[in-house]
Amino acid sequence: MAETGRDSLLWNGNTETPALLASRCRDCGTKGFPPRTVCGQCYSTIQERITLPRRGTVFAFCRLFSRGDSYGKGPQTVGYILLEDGMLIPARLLFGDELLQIGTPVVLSAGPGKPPPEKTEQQSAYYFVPENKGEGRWR
Amino acid sequence: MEIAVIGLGITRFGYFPGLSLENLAAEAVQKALADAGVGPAHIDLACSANVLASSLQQEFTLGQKILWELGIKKIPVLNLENACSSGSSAFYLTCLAVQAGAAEIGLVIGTEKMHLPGNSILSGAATGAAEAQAGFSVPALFALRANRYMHTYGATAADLALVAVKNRRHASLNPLAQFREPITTEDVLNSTPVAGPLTRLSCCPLSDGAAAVLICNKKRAKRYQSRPVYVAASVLLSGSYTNPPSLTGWEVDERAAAKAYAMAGAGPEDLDVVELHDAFTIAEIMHYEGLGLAGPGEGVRLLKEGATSLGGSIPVNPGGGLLSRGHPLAATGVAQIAEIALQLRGEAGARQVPGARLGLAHCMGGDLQGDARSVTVHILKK
Ligand SMILES: [Zn+2]
Repeated sequence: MAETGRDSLLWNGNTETPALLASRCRDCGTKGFPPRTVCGQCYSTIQERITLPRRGTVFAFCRLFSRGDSYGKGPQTVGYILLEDGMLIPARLLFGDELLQIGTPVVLSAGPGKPPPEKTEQQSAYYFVPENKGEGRWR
Repeated sequence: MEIAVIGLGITRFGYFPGLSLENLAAEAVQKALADAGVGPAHIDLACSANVLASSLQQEFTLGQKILWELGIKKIPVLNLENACSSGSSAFYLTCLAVQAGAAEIGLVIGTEKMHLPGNSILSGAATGAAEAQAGFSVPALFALRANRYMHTYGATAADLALVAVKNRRHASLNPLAQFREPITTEDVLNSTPVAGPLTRLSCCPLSDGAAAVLICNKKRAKRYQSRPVYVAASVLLSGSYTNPPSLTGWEVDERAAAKAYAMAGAGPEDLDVVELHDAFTIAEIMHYEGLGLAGPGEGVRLLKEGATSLGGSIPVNPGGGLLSRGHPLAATGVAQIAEIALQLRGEAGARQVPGARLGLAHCMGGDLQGDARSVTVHILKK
């Protein structure tokens, strides 16, 4: 039975060398993120586990002002990242305002995740940061 | 198709803490029955659409509860959830059932109460695992599209705001709309920021409300209704979920529109009036393009020319749209079809599109992998 909806399926959980987990169809090469058990193109069930490239560029971004399932106080930034292999994936971004634009090179990073609910352990989470870090205020 | 709309009923949309789901639905159904001049005993199949009651109110098989209140019993009853296109999907399914001869008169109901504790629809409930991990909300999905659309085609936040201004102007002419006070571009730009260029007035509100439609085989429509409206096309499709998805349009919009136009033997140039899924300002512009009302990147120009305003060449959302009529999720798709039917009957009052003969209703529900989970397109003719 395929599990879905858990962060542990999205990345390796390693804050030092984070990697996003994906699938690649052995029959047609189509990639899936999060990893799939059946190919969305050819229906093959022969799916190998791969990791996605760590580098990409910002394809779209926005500041989120609404209260929500957020990573703490203040507005958050989210975006779609176009990875080096052509996959477009949703992700959280940690950026200084002055660096924020479509096309900015970014790299996968990881650190503390959402503030934990009472009496639970702090989980780590992945996000993307600018490849050339500026002096801007990060959020 | 062989289907006619013979009755319609819509409640006021808004904030109604004192009214239950059954209260709202009963009002819509009773209006539709009166409109068609038929009694409850004539209904022999019903499909009830609702999105939130199962999670927020621990309700299930709501359709039977609504019908029980009205004394309607023994008939086949279906309950349907398809996110924002639940109501229009219920209409699609009921058309198929009536066309197949499973029922003489079919009833479609869309009901929603959104002003309830625990409603997390806007804070990420409806997205996937990676989107949830990233902290996406529903407005974020559209703000990201707005960002990409503005970058690609040079549109501005003020351009997008014009959608909200237009639809509020239309809603001011609709007595059942949730918000009827005219607003300006500045009002939209200066309202509370929500996500990226989208402010509170760029996003549809939370709404309570219901809508109902009665259909029958078109050969017998005039027994019940002197001004029936005919279903020329009924299409429901889901996304293709290919990566990378397009952020400047929804491919499923184009597929659904092409299929509907082929069924109706008509094209976008033949339409007199359109109701489409303006859950966020940017969405209306992208749906113009998806439905072929404008070419890629031409949506803002269509809007600014006034073509989609009442009095323009192809008025869009004459009822006020989701933005101002309100968006009680499952009621929306049914209300859109009812609005088009009213327009084609020439009974839309101050917001009537003169001489409307062909109209389209479009609904989109849910996001998956940057694609739409469901899109419906219905074309109605006089
Ligand atoms: Zn494959």
